[in-house]
Amino acid sequence: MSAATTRLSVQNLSKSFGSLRVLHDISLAADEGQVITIIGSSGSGKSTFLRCLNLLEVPDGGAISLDGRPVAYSSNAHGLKVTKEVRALRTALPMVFQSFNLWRHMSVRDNVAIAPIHVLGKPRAEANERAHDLLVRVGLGERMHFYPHQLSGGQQQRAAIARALAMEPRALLFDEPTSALDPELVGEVLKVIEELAAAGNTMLMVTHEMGFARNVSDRVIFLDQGRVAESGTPEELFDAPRTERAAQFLASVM
Amino acid sequence: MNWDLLLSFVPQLVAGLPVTLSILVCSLAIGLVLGALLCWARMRRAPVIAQAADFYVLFFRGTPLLVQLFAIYYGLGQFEVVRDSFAWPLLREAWFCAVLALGLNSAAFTSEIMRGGIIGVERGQIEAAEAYGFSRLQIARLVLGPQAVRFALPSYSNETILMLKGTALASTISIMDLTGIARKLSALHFAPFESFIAAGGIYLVLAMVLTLSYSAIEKRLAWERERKTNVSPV
Ligand SMILES: Nc1ncnc2c1ncn2[C@@H]1O[C@H](COP(=O)(O)OP(=O)(O)OP(=O)(O)O)[C@@H](O)[C@H]1O
Ligand SMILES: [Mg+2]
Repeated sequence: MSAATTRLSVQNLSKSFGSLRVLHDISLAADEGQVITIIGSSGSGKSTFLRCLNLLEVPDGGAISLDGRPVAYSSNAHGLKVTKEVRALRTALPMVFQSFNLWRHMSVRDNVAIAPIHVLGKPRAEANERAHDLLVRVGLGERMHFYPHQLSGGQQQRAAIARALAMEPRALLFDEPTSALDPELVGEVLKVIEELAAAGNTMLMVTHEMGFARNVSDRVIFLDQGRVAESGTPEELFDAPRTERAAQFLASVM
Repeated sequence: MNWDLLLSFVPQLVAGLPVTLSILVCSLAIGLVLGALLCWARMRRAPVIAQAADFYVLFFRGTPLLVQLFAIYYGLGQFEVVRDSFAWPLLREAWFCAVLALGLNSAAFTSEIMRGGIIGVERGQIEAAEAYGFSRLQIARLVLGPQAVRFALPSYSNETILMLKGTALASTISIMDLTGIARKLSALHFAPFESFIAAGGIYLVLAMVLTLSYSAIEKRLAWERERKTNVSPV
């Protein structure tokens, strides 16, 4: 195996909401094909961190690099300046949301094909065909002409994953992809994510599914009050947490 | 009631339809364009412009349409600057004044309706578009617009009907629209009941056609209801 290259790296990322400091100097690097899971208690800043990576939130400071190239971003009174570079970062790091956020006014197929057509500039026929292939891959080939509201939560989330894959992403971001699902639907979504991990996708994931995190992760990061309190392999973190906070947290969720 | 007389009025009244409909269509068009600008100004909350837009809406919603119409038709000519301006040949025209008054009035209501539609779109829908690299324009065109139109359509259908009825006010400034002709016929034949019942019937038919068209459009856009019968749990 060749030496792993860094796909996504973050240095000293910080973020405040008003006077509330939510993220403190977070640094992290995801190598190609790595699955990194972020855990931590509610309000510890997991979502905010993920959202900073594709600039849905504008960090107060810190560098984001994709494939070794730093991404320039700046904001003014109206918020982030949505430059070509920012848009390129976003298409490279598509987000799978907790509440799916599929566009309600289009079929699932159009949900998957629309960004490739309008943002990546793919020919319509090609994008539609690829959307179909991806929907087949997540088990929704039969339902590609359905509207989101006609699907179960698990199906919607699988469609949302297909939408992310259609971007030909450099890394995938998942923010609690199964937290909004009925318990019996969690498995089908986790199975798809597991397959993506096995297929070598680089992924950053926030989850409360600890068993799953242990199985798929290469590295687990424990966030506590906006700081990386501990990070390591799943075995290190889950079996022998070094910090009191991580031990407490794990005891409370397991 | 004299039914023969009433029926004989119908073709004469129908001759007024082009005037009524042209006032309706033109004022709705002004309402849409100006309403969109007002809505944008108010939602952007840019200083001064937003306050001006707020005041505009307050003013046109808070005063009677008839008063607005009279102010424009009878009032503006009082000013020399207006009489000397390039717009005077238009502002002397009753038809144009009616379109202007109705259009300015409709803009205020339309901007509110648009705002309601836009606010109805879930934050997550926009956020997903941002997360997938859409530009601001693409978000407006591909996500926000289509969904906001869907939410705004029922109110806008209502606004169209209100405007249709509002066009009747044009008859007060000597325009021979449907109502103008009805007034003439009523005076000519001493038959107010027959003439206004006939006119009312025509308005009713128009309102029904409009309502049916809007609900047909609504059905087409109603993604929530489509193919519901095909859904089977998995
Ligand atoms: N837009 C915002 N404005 C103000 N405060 C915010 C905003 N978004 C998040 N916060 C605050 O930032 C902190 C971190 O929130 P965040 O959503 O990142 O936590 P989380 O770790 O994802 O929690 P959870 O497990 O509940 O999803 C919280 O205190 C939250 O209240
Ligand atoms: Mg969260």
